[in-house]
Amino acid sequence: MNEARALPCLEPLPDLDREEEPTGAPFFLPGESPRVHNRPKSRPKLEIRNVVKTFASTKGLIRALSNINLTVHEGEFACVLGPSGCGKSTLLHLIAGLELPDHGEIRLYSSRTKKGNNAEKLIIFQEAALFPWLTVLENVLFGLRLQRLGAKESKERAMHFLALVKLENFANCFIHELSGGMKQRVALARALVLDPELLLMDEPFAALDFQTREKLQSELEELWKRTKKTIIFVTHNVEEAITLGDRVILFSGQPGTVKQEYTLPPGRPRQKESPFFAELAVEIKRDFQNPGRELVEQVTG
Amino acid sequence: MRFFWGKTAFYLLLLLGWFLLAHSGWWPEYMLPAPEKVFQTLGEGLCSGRYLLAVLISIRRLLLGYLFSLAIGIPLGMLTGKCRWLDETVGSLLLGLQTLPSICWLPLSLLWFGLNEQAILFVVVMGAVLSITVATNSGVKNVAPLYIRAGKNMGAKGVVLFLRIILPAALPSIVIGLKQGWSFAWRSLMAGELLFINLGLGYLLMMGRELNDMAQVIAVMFVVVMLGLFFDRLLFSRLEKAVRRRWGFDHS
Ligand SMILES: Nc1ncnc2c1ncn2[C@@H]1O[C@H](COP(=O)(O)OP(=O)(O)OP(=O)(O)O)[C@@H](O)[C@H]1O
Ligand SMILES: [Mg+2]
Repeated sequence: MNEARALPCLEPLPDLDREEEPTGAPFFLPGESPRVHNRPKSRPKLEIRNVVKTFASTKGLIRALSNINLTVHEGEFACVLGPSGCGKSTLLHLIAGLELPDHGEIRLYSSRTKKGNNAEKLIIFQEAALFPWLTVLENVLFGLRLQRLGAKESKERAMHFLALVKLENFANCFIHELSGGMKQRVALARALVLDPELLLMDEPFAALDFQTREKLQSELEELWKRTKKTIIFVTHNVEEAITLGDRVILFSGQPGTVKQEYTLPPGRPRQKESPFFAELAVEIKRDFQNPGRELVEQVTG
Repeated sequence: MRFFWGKTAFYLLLLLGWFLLAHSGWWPEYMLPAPEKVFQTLGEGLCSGRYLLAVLISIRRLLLGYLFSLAIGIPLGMLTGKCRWLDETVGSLLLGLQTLPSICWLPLSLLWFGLNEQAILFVVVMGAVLSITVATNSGVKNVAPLYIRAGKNMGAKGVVLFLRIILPAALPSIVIGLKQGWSFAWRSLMAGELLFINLGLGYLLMMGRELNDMAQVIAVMFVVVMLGLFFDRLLFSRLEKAVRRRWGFDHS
């Protein structure tokens, strides 16, 4: 954690100065700490304190997560990056309340006073998890029906969100009639329609081909900008993480711990070809693969 | 449709063979009646309403027994599927009883209920209820955990979770149980009616034997086959197909 928030490659790169910032303000001032990238006005949305999770398996006890500390801010797009089996899915399940931690606490700062809405932390699973016995529209309506909204109002809302993911023409199709990318879009609509406080995405695009993935990434970015949702996005793909995230949280495996955090400059869409991001990707990949960064530096230096 | 002509030719040949064999005089008529004789008996039986009455009585018993089996089997299957200790106790007992051919329940049933409708109904229920229960049980147990997680995540729990996720997710395997239960109910009914003579199709079959009327025996068997085919093809196979298609099983 002592290395957290330290941005690698701190030299102001010339091509970054050319980038237009949405706020108009320069995102980097000489002499200021790298924390300038954190949106200053944002409040914490989710706090994870000292969370530990152990599973009993056939091979004995497996520590999936060991002492996780993490804060996600309101409106932030946080990417959790890590190798397979490092406990990323477990972390999301814990946040969603599908599983309980052995230790520690997970606190959601809800901005709503309204009670009785159980769907404030919604997961989008890797395999979409749509219900095959319902049509596309009925899938999107599922959560709304549980909340006992009026039939007409629910349907209008559902259609609105289907239109948002560009699937309004497929409302009456069955799930098995859709492609993998379309299924993930339906899953996204099904979650967004419930207006969650927190959107948890578990490698949602991992099973898709390169082009579909890029397309869905930019659509997701667009939706995020429009809906201002707080998103925790799990991936094992470095490019995906730095394309989408405001912050990349690198996990190391067995047991899963936060190894490093990288705060990214806010300009969007990301200029992935720029030397800054190329260098960052190389850096993260190096950290990703190596057991400990200090160790590598000792050897090379 | 590809085999339509082949099929037709096959059945025509079969009929011709039967016709020739019956008229060759190798077997006496009470062993192998001529096809035209059988069809004549069938026609007379149908026209006089005798067969129709028997069919109605049998079907009434079947439906009643089947409805009872549904009402018992589906809830029982769900309970044992959801509740671990019920499954270990009641569930294991049911699995054991499933190996018992349902007609073995007839003596017990006669002693309990006497020579009446309830006795035969009991045998039908015992034939169908176990396979419906076992199929529902395994269907409920094998629902993909992902669906349950997704449902819980959207706020479904308790009865709602059960009715809106677990039940529909288990439906394909429940339907297989329904189909199997129906055919077991049908078999048990026929066996029961044969042994315990009291109207119905089985009774007609036995009457044929007692009168040495082979034409009637074959005609009634024909009716039984037709009814079985009717329910299987027109009801259960279609239901199963529709569910499989809707659930996307035929597309992977
Ligand atoms: N229900 C469970 N029972 C036992 N062990 C489990 C269970 N769920 C997860 N684990 C273990 O916890 C560890 C983390 O699993 P998890 O699914 O969170 O990994 P992941 O980072 O999501 O991996 P991937 O990228 O492959 O999805 C693994 O070692 C796994 O074996
Ligand atoms: Mg995972």
